[in-house]
Parts: sequence; C-alpha cells; structure tokens
Amino acid sequence: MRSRRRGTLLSAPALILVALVTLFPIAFSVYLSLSDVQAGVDGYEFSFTGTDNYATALQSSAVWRALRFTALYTVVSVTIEILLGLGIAVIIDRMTRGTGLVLAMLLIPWATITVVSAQLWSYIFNGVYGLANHVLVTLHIVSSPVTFLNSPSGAFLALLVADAWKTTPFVALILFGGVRAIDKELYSAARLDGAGEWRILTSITVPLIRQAMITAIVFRVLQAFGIFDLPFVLTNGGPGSATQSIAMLAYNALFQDLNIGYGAAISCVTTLVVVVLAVVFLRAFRAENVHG
Amino acid sequence: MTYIRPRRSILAAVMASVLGLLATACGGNGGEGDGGPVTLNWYVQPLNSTSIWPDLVDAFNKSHPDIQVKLTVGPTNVDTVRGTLSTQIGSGSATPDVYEGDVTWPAQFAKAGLAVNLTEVLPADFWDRFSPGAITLAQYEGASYSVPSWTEAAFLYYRKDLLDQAGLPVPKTWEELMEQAKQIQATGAVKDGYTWQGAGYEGLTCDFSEVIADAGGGITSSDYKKPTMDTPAGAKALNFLKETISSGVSPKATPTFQEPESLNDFTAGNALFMRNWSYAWAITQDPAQSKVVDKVGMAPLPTFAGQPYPGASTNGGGGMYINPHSKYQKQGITFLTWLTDVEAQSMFASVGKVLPANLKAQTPEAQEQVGPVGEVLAQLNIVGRPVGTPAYSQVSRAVFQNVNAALTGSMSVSEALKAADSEIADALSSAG
Amino acid sequence: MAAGKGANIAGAAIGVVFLLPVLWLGSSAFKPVSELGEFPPSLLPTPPTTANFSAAFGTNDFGSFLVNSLVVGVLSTVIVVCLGLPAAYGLSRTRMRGSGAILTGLLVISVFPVIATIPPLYVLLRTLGWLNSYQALILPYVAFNLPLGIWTMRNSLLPISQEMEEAAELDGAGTVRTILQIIVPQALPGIFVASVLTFVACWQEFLMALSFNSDATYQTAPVGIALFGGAFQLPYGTIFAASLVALVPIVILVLALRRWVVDGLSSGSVKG
Repeated sequence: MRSRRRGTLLSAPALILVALVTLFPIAFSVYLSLSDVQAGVDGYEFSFTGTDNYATALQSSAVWRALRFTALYTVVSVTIEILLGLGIAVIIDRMTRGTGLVLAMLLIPWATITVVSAQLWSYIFNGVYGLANHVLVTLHIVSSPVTFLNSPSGAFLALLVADAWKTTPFVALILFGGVRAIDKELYSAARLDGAGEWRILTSITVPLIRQAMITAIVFRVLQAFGIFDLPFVLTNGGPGSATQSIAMLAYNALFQDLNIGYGAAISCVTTLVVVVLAVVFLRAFRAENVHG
Repeated sequence: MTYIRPRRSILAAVMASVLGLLATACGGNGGEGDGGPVTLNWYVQPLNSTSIWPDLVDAFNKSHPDIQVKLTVGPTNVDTVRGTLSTQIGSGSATPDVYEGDVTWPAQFAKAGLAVNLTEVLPADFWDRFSPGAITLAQYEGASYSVPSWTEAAFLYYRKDLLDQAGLPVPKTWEELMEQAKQIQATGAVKDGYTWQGAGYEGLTCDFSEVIADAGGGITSSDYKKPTMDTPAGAKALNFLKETISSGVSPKATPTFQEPESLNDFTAGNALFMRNWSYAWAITQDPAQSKVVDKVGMAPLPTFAGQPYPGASTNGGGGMYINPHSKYQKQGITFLTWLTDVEAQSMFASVGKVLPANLKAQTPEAQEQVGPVGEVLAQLNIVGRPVGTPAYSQVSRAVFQNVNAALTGSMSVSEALKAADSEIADALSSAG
Repeated sequence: MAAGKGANIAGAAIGVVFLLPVLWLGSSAFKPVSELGEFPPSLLPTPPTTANFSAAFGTNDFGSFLVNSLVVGVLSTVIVVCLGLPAAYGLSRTRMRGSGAILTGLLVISVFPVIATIPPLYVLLRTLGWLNSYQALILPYVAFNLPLGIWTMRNSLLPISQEMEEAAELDGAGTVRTILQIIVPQALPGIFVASVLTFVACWQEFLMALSFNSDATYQTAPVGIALFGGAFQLPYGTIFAASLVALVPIVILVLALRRWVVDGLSSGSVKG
C-alpha cells in the first residue's frame, strides 16, 4: 500500500511533464485547428471557425498529394529497411570475429545528424558533379550524368537511399537483439533434417524474432510518417511537390503562410493517422504476446 | 473573438507555473542604461561579394555616436529568411530592430503584425526621394511597410565576345535567343546556351512571372480575385520554359538550379546567356571567381516575337522594414532616413556596385560605378509579382511547385497550369 | 556453425559500405571549393586545405551553434536521467494499477511525429515569451525523450535484486538515499543507455530547433547546417567542414559507450 503510493510519487513528476508537453498540446492543437488564429503585435486572436480548416485541407490536392507521398514513402522505406536490417542482423549473428568492429561501423550512420546526411546525399546525388553519377558512369550504367533530383522517381530514390543508410543500422541492431537470443541448437537440428538456409530463415529465425520485428516496424512506421528533415534539406519537397511530406506541408502553412489554424489542422490529421497506425500495431503486438 | 495577451491566459499561467520548475529564469534583455549608446540590430541578406553592409555600418556608426548599428547577415534563400524573421518577430522579439525583407512581403507581414506602417511614421515628403514606381510596387492597401534601399531587377547577361565573333546582335526576342544559342552551341564554344532558375523556389516564380507577362498574361487577375495561369499566355510561357530544356539550350539540371548554380555555369564559361539579378555583375568581373571577366554584356530580357521590346523584368532589391516590437523605433527611423539619403546611397553604387534607390544618387558617376546595370536599368520593363495579397507565399508556392513539376516532366503543361490555378484560387479565397 | 568465415567477410563488407559516405564527407571537407564542383570528382583532396574549416568557424561562426547544441543536449540528458530514474524505479518496483498501459503509452509518445506538437507548443512558448531560448528546446526534448529513458532504465532495474533495497530500508534509509546508494550504482548500464539515446536524439533534432529558435544566438548545429547556403559559391565545403566537427563528439560518445548502445538498442529498449 505504502509502496504503491511511493511508486506513484516517484513516477508522477516525469509522467506529468510528459503529459503536459506532449498530450496536452495535442489537445490544444485540436482547438487551434478549429480556429482562425491571427498573430497580432500583442498576442494571438482566436476566432472559432468550426471545421473550416479541415474542409480546406480535405479539399486541397496538395494535402492529398502529401499524404499519398508520405504513406508510400513510409511503406517502401520501412519494407526495405526491415529486409536489409534482417539480412544484416543474421549475418552479424553468424560472425565469429570482428563483430564489435562492424557494430561500431554501423553505429556511425545511426549517430549522424539527419540534416548532415541530407546535405551529404544531396552532394552525392548532384546532377552535375555528384559522386553517384561518377560511379554510374564508370560502371557504364549510364552514359552521362543523371539529374536524380529532376524526376519524382529519382528524388524518391535519393530519399530512400539516404534514409536506408541512416536507419537500416538502427533496425538491424533491434533485430540483432532477437536473432542473438535464438538457441543455435534449433539451426543445427533443422540442418540435420535437411532444411536449406531460406527455410531456416523463414521457419525459425523470423517467427522467433517477431516481437523485435514488430517493435522495429512500429518505431520506423511512426518515424517515417513524420518525416521532415530529409526532404526539407535534400529535395525541398521537389521536383514540384512530389516529395513534400505531410510534416513539410504543415510547416509551410505555419511558418511560410503564417496560418496557424490551418497548420494545426494538417498536423491533427497526421496525429489521427499515427494514432490509428499505433493502435493497429499495438493490437498486433499484444496478440503476439498472448500467442507467444 | 477571444483575445489572449501574454501572461494573462489561464493556459499560460498553468504552463508557466508547472514548467517554471524546470527551466531557469529566462534571460532578460538587460537594461540599456540611458548613458551609453543604443544598439540597433540590423538584419540583412547577403548582397554580393562586396563589403557594402559592413561599410555602411561603419559609416553610420562613425557619424552617429549615440546609435551603434549591429549587423547580422542572414542566409540567401529568401523563403528561409521569411521563416526566420516571421518566427522571430512573431514571437514578440524586439530584435532585429530593422530588417531587410523581400519586395513580396509587405501584404503578408502587414497583416500578421510583423512590420511597422511606415506611411504613418515617416513624413510625406520623405518618399519624394524615390521613383513612384519603386514605392507602389511594395505597398499594401495604400500604405508602405518598407523603404527601398537599392534597385534590383532581372537582366540578360550575355557573352559579348562570342556574339561579336559570330556577328550576332543581342537578342530581342526569346525565339532569337534560342536560335543564337543553338548556333553557338553547335560550334562547341559553349556547352549551354541559356541558364536560368528552374528549381522549386521563389526564384522560379520570378522567372515565370516574366515570361507569362511577355506572353501577354499574368499569374492572377489584377484585382487578385482569380488565377490566370491556365490561359493561352500561361501555356505559351510554360511551353517556352520547357522547350529551353528539351531543346538542349538550357542544361538538363535546370529544374534544380537556383541563382548560384546558374551563375556558376556562366562564370565557368559554359553558357552563352544567363538570366540573373544585377548583383551577379560584380561576380562575373571578379577574376578569382570568374573565367569570363571582360567578356560579359548586360541587356534587358528579351520578349516573345511580336511583343514590344524589352521583355518583362521582375523587381527585387532590399526593402528595409521596422520591427513593431523594437524598443528603438525612433532610432530605426533615423537609421533608415540616413540609409536612403545621398551619402549612404552613393555607397551602394561605389562599394556595392548596385544602383541606389534614391533618385538623387542615381548620378552619371553612380551609373558608371555599377557597370552596365546603370545604363540598362532605365530601359527595363519592370513587372511585379502578385504581392498585393497576404496569401502571396501560397500563391507563389502554387506557381513554383507546379511549374517545376512541369519542367521535370512529372506533370504535363496543362495539368500543371490547372493545378496551379486551383491552388491559387484556394489561396486567394482563404485570404478573403 | 555454418559460414563463419563467409559471414565475417560479408559483415566486414557491410560495415565498410555503411562507413563509405562518412569517409566521402571527410574527404570533401578538406577539398578547396573549386575542386568540389569537378566532374569526375577526385577521391582525395589535392592538396588538402583547411580553408573550409576557417570559413565555417571563422566567417560563419559555426562554433556558437555547436555550443548551443552542447548546452541543450547536456542539460536535457541530465534532466531526463534525474526525472526518469525515480520514475523508472517507481514503475519497476511497485505494482501500480495501469502501469502496463502507461509504459505502452510512453513507448508510443517517444516516437510520435514531432509536427503534431509544433503548432500548440509554438503558440504556448510564444505566449510564455520562451521562443528563442534554451528552455524552448530543453523542455520539449526532455518530454519527448523521457519515455524511452524511463523505459530503458526500468528494464535495467527489473533484474536487480530487491534484497539490498529492503535491507537499506530496514536500516532506516529514505527513498532518496536508497535510490542514490543502492539503485544508481546498479542501474548504471541503464542510465548510460538512456543518456546516450537522449543525447543523440537531442543532438540530431531539427524540426523543433528550426521552429522555436529563429535567433542564431540560440540555434543548434542541425539548423546551422541546414540553413547554410552561399549565393556566390558552392556551399558544400563549409557545410561539410562544420558537419565533420559536429560528428566528432557524437561518434566518440557512441563508440566509447558502444556496448551499452548496442545492448540498449538490441534488447533494453525493446523487451516489454
């Protein structure tokens, strides 16, 4: 009894702070999104406008385009990173020497500032003097430099490469935790039964690291859906608005157009999507727990 | 309508009391004693490689012992600068006291309370020092929120040496420019015919405003009631810009070019023509940065065949605004008055190599100091961008994003124009 | 054990592939500006120059961005540990009703898209007069990193025997003394993990830093690197010089605490 109260007391400051700075603002954001907010010299004027901002957002082709891009980007990048991360985790698990060194090498991209990574990849993918073009020309894959950032698919590719470089190590490390814990006897037994490597991967490894997989997927999906830094610096949302994420759209509404109500409406839409995704994934997570 | 004042809202009080536990007391602005000089913070954008900004500050500080101007030079991307200044001033910050802003901002900044109405605080005869056009292009609802400091517009830069060699005149139409470019590219003297700014940013709105005006159209109707991109003029303009790239006259990478990329191409000797602002002149003539020193001429931009020459040039250039939260607005006005008077204005020509905004400083001597700019500027046909609406930033984004998409081929010309029109219509209606 | 040698080679190749872009950054940072725009690019700078570093730290005063990043990162990390450890202890030692739900909720919050809180936090910070200050960033950084910090520290506390705590309590030690003398020493790995994860997150954060602090006096390194642009020459040399210096502290920190970071990512932060 006394212990429970003490637990509450000890946890309270941190939990209240988290709630005040994350949950409470999200609620406040809903209020903002239902208002026309005018920044004046002395403060803000709020006038209630109901769902006007949402109506504008849902009728805007820019919002739908950004949602489509963000969703597609999330699915493609997370899929690639999970597959690559799984492969890397399995390989590291089988290493007999130098594991620590390779882990260290993988930690460096993870620790790199996203903005630095974006500048670096924009230099590598430059259409006039980029290293990527040098490699492609040397390998005779293309005959003259390609302007990657000139086409929606090229810009998408550049974003994927930059993102995969930085976050695949993160995914690989999470999955490595799962793979490492698998009893190696299971592999030997399967081999004795004549199972091939692919069979072992799909029938033993993947099922046994499901929990780590779901955690990695939840983390990555939610992060990818909020993507901002990378396209802001690498493509500036271009060409056209092909790589403008939903977060960039909200940022533009807030800080370029100075339209706080509309920006809040777009960010509330993002919140809604993310909450739905989180609930779906956590349901799956819980089902796994009960199952396992 | 509810009105929240700082420190009065319940929300703020709750936040402050709880969060105050965490944060250290925020640093006050520090009382400036009555004795010492006032520090006036001045925020500008880079102009060119000359030392014009620090030189102006030195000259002012020497002649005004009671006001010391402190200079901050911001980034070059004008959209970034807008984000920075609107956030900072919108936050109630008293600094910068005086800032340089784009000619496209008055409506938006006035509406958002980010700029002082200068018509109210400056005497009527103050404005006589400028040409009336320079004032009206930057007004919002009949009031001025910025003071022009130097005159900037778009020019055609050309390789004098190569045109002379081929016996060609400076092109007066876009069709002529394309012909000449192809002809000289074919000789191998240059790789590119014409470089301009096709990246998805404010600069593309400028480039597009010019060609759509050349085609006899505009981005919106003059009363800002409806978009007019999806018109024959809009199609002609966009098709022309696309053709510069598809014909090989402009580099393939043009849709990623801002001013530095196009200027690099030109100063490296790779291009015959370039569209750029007058600031670029000094750089083309700097041997450390340019391989085409003494080989460059400047002219008004061409127009389409059958239209009166010269073609349209957008205006740019530094407007100086005063922060409404500044504690030193009076000193700010003293500074602006000095900055637009003949002495400082002459420095823009002699040091900065750009044409002053003050008519009295536009002397023959000044014209000579700024190079061909001085001579050509008077001939230009200046067009504004649709800056009279507070939704300008949205309008411009609708223009540059969709035009850029069409340039890269990810949208067809007609799709892009339709999309631009529908986004502009949304923006105009939201601005009321 | 299949393919130990093959795996060693493959693993080393993967490591090298992931390291290459950083090496390219390092090489480019030492190239003169004229060499940065050459095609085909040279692999190594000829000759190496430190001009980019002078440009970054002399004319562009990049040092102040780094100092701001350090102040914000270190203070946020310290606060996360100071607030998070008691909370982690509380959640690991007591069977509070709903603690499972709280922990799951915390996990979700820690990866919540930042943009969701930008408009309200901006309005609130402005109303408080806190825009353009260190606390404008420390406050949200602490709040967004506390969840993962609590989670990892709680996980490291779970396996620790409670006997010593009970003994200390019988000796009449109060909660604070129990935490300081018994818990902290044993929870050090968890504290390391929480600290590194928090510091790395703060060091990288961009959107809030960009939105809340527009005054260069309080801007952090990512903002400085993102907004740097030159109208007159290719900006990459200066950007890479600044980036390289910004990478050094974080790389040293991460490599020095490598074991805990790997443990934290591969198990601590994952197992519920």
